[in-house]
Amino acid sequence: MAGADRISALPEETKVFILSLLSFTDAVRTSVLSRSWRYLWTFLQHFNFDLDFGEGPVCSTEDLGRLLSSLRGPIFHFSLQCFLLAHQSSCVQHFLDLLFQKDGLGNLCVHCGGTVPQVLLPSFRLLKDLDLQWIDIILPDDFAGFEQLTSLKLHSVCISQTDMQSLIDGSKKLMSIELSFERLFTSQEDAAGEQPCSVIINCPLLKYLRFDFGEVKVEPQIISAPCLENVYVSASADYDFTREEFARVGAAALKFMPDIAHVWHLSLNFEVLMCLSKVDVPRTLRVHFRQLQCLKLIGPMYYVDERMFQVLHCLIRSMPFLENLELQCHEPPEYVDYAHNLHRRPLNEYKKEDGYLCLDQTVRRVAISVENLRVLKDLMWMINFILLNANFLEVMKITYYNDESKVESRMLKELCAVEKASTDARVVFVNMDDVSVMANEGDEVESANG
Amino acid sequence: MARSSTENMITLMSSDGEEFMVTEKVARECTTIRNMLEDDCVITNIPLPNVTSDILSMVIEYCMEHVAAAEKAAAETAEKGSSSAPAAAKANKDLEEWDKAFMNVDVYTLCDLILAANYLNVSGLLDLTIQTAANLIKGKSPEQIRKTFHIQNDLSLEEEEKIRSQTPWAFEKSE
Repeated sequence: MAGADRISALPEETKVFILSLLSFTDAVRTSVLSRSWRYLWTFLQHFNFDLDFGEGPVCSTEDLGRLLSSLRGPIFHFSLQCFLLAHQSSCVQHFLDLLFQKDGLGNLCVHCGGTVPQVLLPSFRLLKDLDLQWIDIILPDDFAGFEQLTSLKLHSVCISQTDMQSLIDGSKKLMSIELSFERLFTSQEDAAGEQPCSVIINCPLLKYLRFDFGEVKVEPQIISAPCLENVYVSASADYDFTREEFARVGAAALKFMPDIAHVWHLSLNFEVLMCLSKVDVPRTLRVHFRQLQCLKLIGPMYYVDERMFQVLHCLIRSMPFLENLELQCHEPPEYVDYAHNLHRRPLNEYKKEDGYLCLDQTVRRVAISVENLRVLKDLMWMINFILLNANFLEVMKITYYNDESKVESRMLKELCAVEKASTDARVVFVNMDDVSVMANEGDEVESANG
Repeated sequence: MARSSTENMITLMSSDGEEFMVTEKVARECTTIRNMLEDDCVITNIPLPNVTSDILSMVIEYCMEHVAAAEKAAAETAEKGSSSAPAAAKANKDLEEWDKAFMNVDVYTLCDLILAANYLNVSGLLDLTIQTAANLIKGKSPEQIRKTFHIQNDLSLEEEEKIRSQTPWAFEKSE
């Protein structure tokens, strides 16, 4: 059997399948294996390139253009991450034009760094997924929408209000939208305009929406989204934000709340809570999230100050049927200065309070995910608040990464001592780095319930 | 493995005439066979002229392991009402380990398995074998790849130089 070359004898499509699992560089390298491998890579229909000028191969944007032209097409999937120098920024347009000629494009993902390229986005007729980051976009004059588009992700893009609106209005199959703007401008004025621009959402099939409030004055407005289930409202409040700017974002987020009052799942990041704390939420939040089942809070929740805590109170009071509460905690951003008014009442000052309909009746599960257990100490007020008030809590699951079991047992002891409104409440610790070991030992580590 | 007697048994016949009795459930893991069964439900004997007995026995071993794992997971879910996440993660990891050990074969067997998985349309096995083949190519120099798969280089030195000069960056890191 020596010398039998079985792999070259495989059917062509099988060999192309093997190449499709390799990086593009690895796939191109097979061109010198033998004559039968020479042009195999040109049958690839996926183009993934991470142009990392530091580590990866030194492949110029011209090389990349040649590669792309060599592909026979159709190309279904194009993904490019690149850091562009000023003279290279026109390459993105060139790539998009080539892709348009080759047809078939379903997934387009371009994340740029360095010089921001400006592109005229061709009307790819089969486009399903559009994911662009740090790009200026212009739509063709005769743009009639992406008929097949289901997922739209634009992060830090610059686009005109008219184009943004035609993009959303023309894509009637959209199920998922994620938007954050670097700039959104109207035809008459530039970004410095005083009036906020609105993005109007009228999407019959939309299920997921993420909107990021930032420096740019853009306000989302939902006219109709009957299928909307899941919304993530975030803010990217910057370190040089003035108090007024925090309040502006807070007011915009507050104004958006009634539009999403019918969703099942709501996520808010730390910065949104912070912005909301600058507007008088206790008096101005007039929304009831009557269908909300899950609230997820993302960010350094252990840095919540007294006013943000009040925002949280109000939100929880506005969600009568909440069942799941999730906290996903990570390190605080450097720019936040909260040291002066951190929420640090002694634990014994927390009393059981009435009036949180969901905590009184419906909240069953709480999931807390932290980087390590030490930060839990700063989260004790929140845990305490939940345990004190949630009458029907079944399980509080605390997920963490790499930590010592010593810390865990101490935490557990401390949590056992906390007064609980629900006698059935279990506190469960799950070490994500250790899941297999734990499964071997039988079950999750549980606290004894006092 | 305990099986209920009511389960349909199917006989698969390899190219070299060896017969393998398997349950219908295991046979259905092969989409090609599933389609045959759906077209003609009384069929009990299926000749597979493209698959040798040693490869067929491996394909059956793979299908049996994966059917058993799926059954076990389903039984656990039914028993507890909901599956416990760590237990499910553990079961997944076990199956992954099994797959990994299963892929500890020479390149001839690997290529024959790819062919069989492709012909019988066992998507899990095809993904696994193709990924294994891709891993043997990943980050390797052309010489290393030729050696691994016994590929005869029929390009002249000049031709090879020319190809390399068209995409020099693709050869920088691997040499």
